[in-house]
Amino acid sequence: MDPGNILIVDDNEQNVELLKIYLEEEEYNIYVAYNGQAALALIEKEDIDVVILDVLMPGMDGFTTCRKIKFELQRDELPVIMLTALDEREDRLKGLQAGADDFLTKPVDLPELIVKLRSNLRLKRAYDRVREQYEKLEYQLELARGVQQGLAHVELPAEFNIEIFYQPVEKIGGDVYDVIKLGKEKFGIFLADSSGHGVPAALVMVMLKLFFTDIINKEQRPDKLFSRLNKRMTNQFGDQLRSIFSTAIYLIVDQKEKTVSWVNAGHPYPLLISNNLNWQELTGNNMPLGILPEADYDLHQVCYQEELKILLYTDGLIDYLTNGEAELGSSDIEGIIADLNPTNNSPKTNFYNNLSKKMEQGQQRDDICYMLFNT
Amino acid sequence: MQFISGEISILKFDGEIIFEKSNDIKNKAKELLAANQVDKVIIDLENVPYLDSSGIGVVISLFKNVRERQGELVVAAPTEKVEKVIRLTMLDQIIKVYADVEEAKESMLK
Repeated sequence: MDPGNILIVDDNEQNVELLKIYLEEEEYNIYVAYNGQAALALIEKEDIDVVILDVLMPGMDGFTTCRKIKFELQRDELPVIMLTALDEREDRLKGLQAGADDFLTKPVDLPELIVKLRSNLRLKRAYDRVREQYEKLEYQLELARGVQQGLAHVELPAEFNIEIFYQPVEKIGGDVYDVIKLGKEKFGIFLADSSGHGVPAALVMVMLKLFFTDIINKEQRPDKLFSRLNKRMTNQFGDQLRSIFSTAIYLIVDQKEKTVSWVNAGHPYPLLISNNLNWQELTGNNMPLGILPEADYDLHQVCYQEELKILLYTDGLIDYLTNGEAELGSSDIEGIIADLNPTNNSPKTNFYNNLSKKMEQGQQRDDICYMLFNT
Repeated sequence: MQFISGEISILKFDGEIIFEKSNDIKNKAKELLAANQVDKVIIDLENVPYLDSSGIGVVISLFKNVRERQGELVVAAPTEKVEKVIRLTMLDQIIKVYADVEEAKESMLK
């Protein structure tokens, strides 16, 4: 194993030389800086494992240098061993405040230096291993996200007038949707949300989408489709995933017959919005998917006369808009509706653009997804 | 989390049950139930100001667990906000929900 890269920071050339010879004897790789400025530059450039830092230096002293390493370069994992004058209690206090990890009094007791160097190196190595694992995990998440995105990707034919907003809270999301062409003027819209988020929720969602795609080829009636989907989603998973369930809605718009039919598994009610901005919730609800294998699902239907907008959304949107309430109030709904017209210079609605802007400022607790469909 | 063992055991949660905490809470609760061979249990939600969908998941998971041992699990004393979440996720269709622990006890003793 690489014995470690040690940076010695001291303005006194003689001291530096002594430490250097001794540590090179122990096979460490030695870097030297004669002032704080040079030390900071080296730390940024080289892969330093431990810093041995003299307190007394002209210009930037050891305390300031240490503070800059820890807080400005944000290298709080990089161990700094401070060299102080004998029994200077105050120096130690100041050093601790500056973020120093260990102390040695001058003149340096060389065997003691080696012991302290080793223990600090061990810490640094442990940190490096954790960071390496973390980076691996991040990479795998990135791959998983690619898979999920590939699966989530929905080809929307040009005649679909639909706006989809999708923003997972972590790299990988627990919301999933699909749009299916069922006939010349007939579309199916599917939206689901699994409890929790992160990888487990995303795994459940991948399964749900695959099952949905599979079953819809055999069973087109929404209520029967959901019964089958629910059976497959129940008891499919091991104990760790058992507490995850999914809310889902599947809605069919028939533009020729002018009907909207739907089946709802514990999902927030979709909104039906008319041209004059009247709205109604499409109520009717059954058990979320993946809880009870024998759950039944009811098919609901309404007819419409004029053009309509239909808004489907996940509870992440409710949480976000109401700041933690369980359902949208009338004023929230009216606020959304007022923003649903396309802006002059954008193909998206005001609501979409405003929400995207707010997302960039952060503070989102759950995956957020909505689908806005114009008949 | 408090646990009172008895003919009817009571599991009382403290604080909101949200995603970040739900796995720990679930595991701890499962351990308690398993270690005490509980087959009648009331989940007391009096001190839970909020639970999200993963919190609902915790309750469902415990419910399934107890049911597999032929036991019975009910929920008591949800706050207004929690009651709403329970209703919206249709949890009240599979798990009995009582206004308070006393009421739950009475009905379980029948």
